[in-house]
Amino acid sequence: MRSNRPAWLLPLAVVAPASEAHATVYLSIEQAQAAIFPGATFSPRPKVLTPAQVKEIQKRSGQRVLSPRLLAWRASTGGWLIADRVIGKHEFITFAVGIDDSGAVKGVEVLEYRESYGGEIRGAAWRRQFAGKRLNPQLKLGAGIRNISGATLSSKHITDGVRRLLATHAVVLGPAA
Amino acid sequence: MQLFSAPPLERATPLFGTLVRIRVEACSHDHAMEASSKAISAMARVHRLMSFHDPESELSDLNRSAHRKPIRVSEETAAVVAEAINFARLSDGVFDPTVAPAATRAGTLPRPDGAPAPSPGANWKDVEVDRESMTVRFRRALWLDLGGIAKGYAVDVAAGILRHEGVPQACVDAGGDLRVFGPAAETVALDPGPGASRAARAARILNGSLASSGSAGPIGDQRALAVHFDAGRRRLAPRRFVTVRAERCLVADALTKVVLARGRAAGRLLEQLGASAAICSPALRWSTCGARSDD
Repeated sequence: MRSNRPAWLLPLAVVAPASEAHATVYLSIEQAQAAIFPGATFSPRPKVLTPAQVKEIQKRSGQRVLSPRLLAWRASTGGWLIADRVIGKHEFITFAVGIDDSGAVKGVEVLEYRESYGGEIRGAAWRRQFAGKRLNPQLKLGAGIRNISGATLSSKHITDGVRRLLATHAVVLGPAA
Repeated sequence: MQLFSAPPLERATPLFGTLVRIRVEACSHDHAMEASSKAISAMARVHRLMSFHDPESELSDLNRSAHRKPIRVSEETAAVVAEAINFARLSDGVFDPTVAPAATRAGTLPRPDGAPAPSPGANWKDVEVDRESMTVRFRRALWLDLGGIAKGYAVDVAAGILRHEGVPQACVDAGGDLRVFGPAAETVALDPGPGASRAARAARILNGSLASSGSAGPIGDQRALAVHFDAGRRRLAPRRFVTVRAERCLVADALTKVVLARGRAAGRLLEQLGASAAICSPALRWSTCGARSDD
């Protein structure tokens, strides 16, 4: 190790692999609605998918439908917002997709990202926040480590989920439905 | 002051094959929402223009037709292609945005739809960008992949928009390639991968960018596609993990590939660009090179 290590590189205390789940909460449903359809008002239109609809959605998207319950809202300005969840290998993600009346994605917002396990570094980082004062006097308690470079968060399950909801929109909510 | 007691707003959306997260601090909720929405839209636009996978992208148009005639592209695409070629020149082809065929053969990148087979031996020197006419031309058929640089560019664009919108403090993070601005430093954990937690480090970033690449990621990890091959299309020697700090995220993103390939031999180029790197070997030992930074 060269002696003049850059000042930005710091030691990170290593702790035993974390067993606790780590969750990041992003937007609420209402905030996601406002973010994707600014200025619109929303009316809830929950639905229960029929077995035939589930089959058709799975056929069109190549994705398994986890629940027949569809959490959908109609936007006053046109378009739909659907909230759903995907379960990855290590994570549980709730998200919302805005779909316009042409059937195109208007926006995707992750609502909550929960890592069920595997958060080796996350666990260490999470605790480091509270030890941060010792590590560096400029670190503020609660304003410590929230980003990890190297551990790419999974997005494949979300994009798969978006594809499934596009099929759901076409089968259940769209003009041809 | 109520402003500074406002909780940070954090949003996440899937882009560039990863989860893009934007955190905005010290401004009202409405202001934070509006500014972050503009930043996310701009990143989504970069994704649409420069996606290797999307047949509708400008990049795909180049890969299909730029060997036949100059193709007009957006200002953004022209800028990123020019930057990519500049990094190829600066690194003597160690960073080469035309190595996609090797990645395709290795199965880490899909074959682009409708693109002709690349000319054997075609490389970055066959790419011409005209910033005046906003056109790109290939001297031979080749597959250009901006995956090693477009994500960093998008992070820079998003950070620029947030700053322009008057946001005082923010962090834009595209799967570990991130940029921070504002009075508070951001501490980022560096994760050299599964089973390497004892080698974890942290980086403290104040008004700057950080990007990481690893050649020993989990199976199916797509984060370092171009990284796996050098200019001679050989698989790279295993440097387990590198992190580069630079002012711009585009620079940090591109340089991770050079450092992964060349190790500390990349030090001079890093210094020249005001960047520095931390390198983790397969034996989980860290070394550093490049410019000394004083924050």
